[in-house]
Amino acid sequence: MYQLEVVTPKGIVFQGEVEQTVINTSDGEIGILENHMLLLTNVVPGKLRIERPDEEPIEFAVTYGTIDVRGDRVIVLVEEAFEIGEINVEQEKKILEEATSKLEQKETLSLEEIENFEKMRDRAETLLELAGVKVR
Amino acid sequence: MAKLSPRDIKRKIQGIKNTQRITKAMKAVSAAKLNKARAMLNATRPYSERLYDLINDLAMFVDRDIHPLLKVREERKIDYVVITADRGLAGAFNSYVIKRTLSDVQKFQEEGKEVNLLLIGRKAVQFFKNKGFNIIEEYEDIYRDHMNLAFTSKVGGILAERYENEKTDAVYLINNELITTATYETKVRKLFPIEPELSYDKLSELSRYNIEPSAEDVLEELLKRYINFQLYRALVESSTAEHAARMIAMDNATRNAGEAIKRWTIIFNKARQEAITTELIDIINAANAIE
Repeated sequence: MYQLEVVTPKGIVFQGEVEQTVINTSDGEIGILENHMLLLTNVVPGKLRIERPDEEPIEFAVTYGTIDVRGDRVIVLVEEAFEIGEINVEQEKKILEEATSKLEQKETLSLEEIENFEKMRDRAETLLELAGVKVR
Repeated sequence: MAKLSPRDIKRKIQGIKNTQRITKAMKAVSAAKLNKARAMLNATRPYSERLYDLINDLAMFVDRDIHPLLKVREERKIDYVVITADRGLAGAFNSYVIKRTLSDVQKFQEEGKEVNLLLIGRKAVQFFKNKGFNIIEEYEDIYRDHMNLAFTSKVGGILAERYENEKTDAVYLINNELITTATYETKVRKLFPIEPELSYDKLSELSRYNIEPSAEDVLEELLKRYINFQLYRALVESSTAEHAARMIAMDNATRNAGEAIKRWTIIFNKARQEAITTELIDIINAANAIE
């Protein structure tokens, strides 16, 4: 067991003792048990699952951020963490539409702009999928 | 000016009372919104503390002269992110930001610098429209549903791309911030280039970490989080100051209405007495004429 904190600009979304944390990173999905090696890596949009003994796992849809794995404490710093029911499907659909239509004009965009819109699209797609809406 | 009859004055007083009901209600609504906004502002503290700590720790791993978001350049092209409210009735709230922007823009132009504006808030958009300014983007109606990281990461991405591709040499945020419950100030803060405070004592701690895929990659992402967060924070600060400003303005308006009601009531009483006196005189004269 170790202390887990999930922190967004809206506040501390979760704080407590946990058994395992499963999260998506730029290198793929990882599961963190106690005494994990010290790690600092990027979080990408996906499901964050928090497992505690004798309790139902808690799940959040998270977007971009960083995870800091210390010996006794794990801090997940993400821009957004939604409970699955909290995802604003209408808003995310609009965001997906905007990103997709901008990407259709790839030739007029710089490399960085393309990367930004792709990230925007990935974020919206992931959130919509997690909310149960079929997108791809 | 024609003499107002007691009935006209009564109607006028009723009008002012109606207005006063509205300003009183608006003050109460603003007070509630102010509390919510302050709570949002306080809620950002844990995130900002942890984020800044991580950036300051990692910044030592990266050559500041090379990294596109940290590199300092001569400021020849400047972007101003102008943040106002969507609505008025908040005293001088919006005009403080607009006036400060105008004077800074003029100063830069006199120094031969190019200035571009990114506008957030209907008042800013309405003011700077069609006046010959270089406008990067305009956003209205953000405060209701879009005061979130999805929006600020979109804007942050636009600004980061401009800085990386040298379309701008510096980006500043200009917005009001609440200082005390009754006062707010217009602040101009630099967003790019980012200037971390290096903490050399943490170096040994970090060397024990696995940093994946690399320190540069993780720092790159952290810097993006920093930009998006600064924009979010500025919106929440502005919103907080806006509600305080509107509360004060509506409070003043309510008080002014109260004084106006008092003044007009005195005038009403005088007019009513004059009318009675005039009528009495008429009656007496008529009675005398009959005799």
